[in-house]
Amino acid sequence: MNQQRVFRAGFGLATVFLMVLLACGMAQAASLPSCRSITYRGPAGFLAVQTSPSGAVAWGGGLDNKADEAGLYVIDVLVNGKRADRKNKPYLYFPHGSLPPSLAPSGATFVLQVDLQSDSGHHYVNVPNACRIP
Amino acid sequence: MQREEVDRQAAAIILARALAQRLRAAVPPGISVSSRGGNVIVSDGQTSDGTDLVGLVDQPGDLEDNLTTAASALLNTAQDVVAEHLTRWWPSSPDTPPGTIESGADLPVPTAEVEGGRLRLWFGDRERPALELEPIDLSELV
Repeated sequence: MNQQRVFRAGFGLATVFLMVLLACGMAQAASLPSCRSITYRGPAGFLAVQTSPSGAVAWGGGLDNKADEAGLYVIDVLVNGKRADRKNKPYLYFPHGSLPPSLAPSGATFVLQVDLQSDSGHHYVNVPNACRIP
Repeated sequence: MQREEVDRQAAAIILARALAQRLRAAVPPGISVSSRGGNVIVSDGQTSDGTDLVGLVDQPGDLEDNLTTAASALLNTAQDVVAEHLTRWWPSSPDTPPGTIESGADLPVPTAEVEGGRLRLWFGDRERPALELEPIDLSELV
């Protein structure tokens, strides 16, 4: 009997905890800016994301010091936390890319993770960014 | 008995090779497609772009989903490089008369999908693709 009560109480608490977590997650997702056209500025450059009327999500970026753009880039394009594209090669300039709607569906969260080991010896990483695909 | 785990990195490398081979046969003159490990590079001699398939296949989630994501991403990258090189959409829609300038809405979107144990790869309409590559048998990859 007591065991049952304890079990029920525990289950109830767990349900409430889960609901609070879900509510927090939903609130966070709802508060994300749109990927329609957004630029994230950082201390050394920017990232930009745009969504075309056909639903393709294009992204790019740049450094304030163009001379530092040449180097080895590892870029993960995350859609709902999963890699939907990955660049891992040297580029002379900050690369750009796009995702078709099949890889970047409406409502999904879009994040760019960038790691640049510049030929000049400098190391750059992305500023925090996240937007919701319209 | 234990279920045999699929070596996802190996699958990505084999997929990269298979996709590079198919794309090479499909891209216009002046474009090269090469694979090194799981990285496929598409180049017009001036600029190049690529997709690292290992990072896309070897991640959590359903393997078939990851394979289709990786293939779609590469087709998309290849389309970008070729379109920039040609300064027009590629591949051309089957309904577009030669010499016509197409709008963005006409761009044949790349798609990869598993059908009957094979990875089907095409641009444009599913029933009437602008370009379809030879499918890849999944048994070759896993």
